[in-house]
Amino acid sequence: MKPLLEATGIVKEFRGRGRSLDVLALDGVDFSIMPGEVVGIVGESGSGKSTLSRILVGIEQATKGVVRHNGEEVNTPADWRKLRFDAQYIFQDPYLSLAPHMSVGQSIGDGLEIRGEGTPADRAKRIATTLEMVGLKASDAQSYPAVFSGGQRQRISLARALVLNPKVIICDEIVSGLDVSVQAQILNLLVELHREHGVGLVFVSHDLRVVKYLCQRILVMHRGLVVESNSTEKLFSNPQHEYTQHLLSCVPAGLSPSGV
Amino acid sequence: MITARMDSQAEALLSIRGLTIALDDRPGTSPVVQNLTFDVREGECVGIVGESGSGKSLSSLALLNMLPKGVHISSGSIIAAGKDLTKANERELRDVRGSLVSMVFQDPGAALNPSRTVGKLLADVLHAHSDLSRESIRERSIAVLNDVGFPDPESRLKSFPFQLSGGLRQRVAIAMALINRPRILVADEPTTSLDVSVQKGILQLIRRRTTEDRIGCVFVSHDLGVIAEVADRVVIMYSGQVVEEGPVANVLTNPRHPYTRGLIASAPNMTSTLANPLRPIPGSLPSVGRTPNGCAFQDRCPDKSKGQCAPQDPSWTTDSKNPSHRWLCHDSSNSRAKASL
Repeated sequence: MKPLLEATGIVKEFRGRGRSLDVLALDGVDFSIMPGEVVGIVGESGSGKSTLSRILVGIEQATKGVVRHNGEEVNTPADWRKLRFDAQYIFQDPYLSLAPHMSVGQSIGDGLEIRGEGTPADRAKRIATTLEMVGLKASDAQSYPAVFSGGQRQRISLARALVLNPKVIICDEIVSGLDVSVQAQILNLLVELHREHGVGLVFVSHDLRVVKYLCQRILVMHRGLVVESNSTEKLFSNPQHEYTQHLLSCVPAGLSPSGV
Repeated sequence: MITARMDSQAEALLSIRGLTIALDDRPGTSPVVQNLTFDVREGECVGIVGESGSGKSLSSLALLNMLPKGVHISSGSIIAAGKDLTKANERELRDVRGSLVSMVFQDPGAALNPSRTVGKLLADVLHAHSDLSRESIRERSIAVLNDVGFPDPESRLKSFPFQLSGGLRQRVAIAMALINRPRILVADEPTTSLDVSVQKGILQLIRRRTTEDRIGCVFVSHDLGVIAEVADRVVIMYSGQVVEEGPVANVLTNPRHPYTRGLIASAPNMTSTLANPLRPIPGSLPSVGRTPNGCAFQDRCPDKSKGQCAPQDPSWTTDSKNPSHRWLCHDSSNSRAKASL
């Protein structure tokens, strides 16, 4: 089986303007995800985890390196459009990523409209079922983002990605701004979508506890490099790289209630 | 070990009694913080845990009488070293802030004046409370930067905040808070914007300064893992009320209030797996001023059938084995063993 998405030898340099220096955000990174897989990318700020995830869907262009979709190189704008039929992206801040002047239904239906899928009535039906899939009401399509809480907005973002039937959803820190009880609702929703609909996930996060809970395989990034990549179980039970060991030692262990 | 630090004989540095914070323009609606009562003793760190809207940040701001416009302290007292801060005027408060009681905020980038160097920021705080020579200001600044683990302080006194990393900026903010040797340190989510490896250093620093300088620390956080590392006692807030409090080890390993249990069950830790899924708390926080009659948590409570949740307000139950552990629930028999059935 071919990887759904594959990136090889990715280098990304941000040119400094004026007196600021150039930044080498990614220094030769390889990444791949099979259909239906849940892969985590963890690292601290500045490690390049977000940049890598953005390059995977073409929000950012790599300075060097190749992105492949189903084994074929992605080069032209038409190739990227085809890739985005399979890969959708969700941003961290649900207050910035939803257009405030569009109703929830319009936001969710935008992608369908751009692709010219179905009649308006078909689209409305798909918007309604998708809203129910993420735990909202079909009638919420008429409301505007302003009336929803952060957790509900993140559900709307998720609906916007899901309505296009993607094979993989790339989630960049999507639960970081949420309260723990709401974060748990969204994480469980992602688990359910993966189990029932076979959606793959690239889950970018700084929180090792969350990534450990959700992902099958994890890449650890540090200063623009993938320093370690392994199955979740092996990575946590037997971390090889010094940096991974350091990172694991810094996670607040907490006290777990006896018997829970 | 944590309980060993709990020295109940030690005198309270900070006593908060019945602190209630209300909205200015909506008298009659339920207050945003209700009847907050707790003590902080010498060398002790008290954690305040809650989600957004629980009133934890407003409570911490109230400790320095720094509430934003639109809300005010409507009753209760805050006694710090014998003074009631709720009755202090602006001049008296200026003497207290940064000297008796200091504060560290969440975002060190926003908390530090970007046009002042590290040396000047520290000198400003000293000037506000004492009349020291330039030489002794420099000495004190270098000493406090050493105390907070700031590398190479002599040469960095001339650095501006933008030249420092987030972790170093937070160390400068903590140095500013500690330079006048306050008795009480209030830290509102001081590590939330920092990376985990930086967070660890800051938590160790706050813990060490609390123990070694015998200060009282109030540490506000949404992260139970962080609270477990830094605090001796914890106060759990929900919808403006304390619902449970006690020694960290007791509250986190044997939570009694259904909200505390929900919070713990929904937070992933290093042992969570999909085989033992997270259990989110259903529903959402009641909106400001619309708390239901009786227990504030009744609409989201999984154990609602077990108690008389409304219309009477719940009363406190104390753990018979550990009198400092108490919780606010109608179901006075509420115990973990029962809840896990």
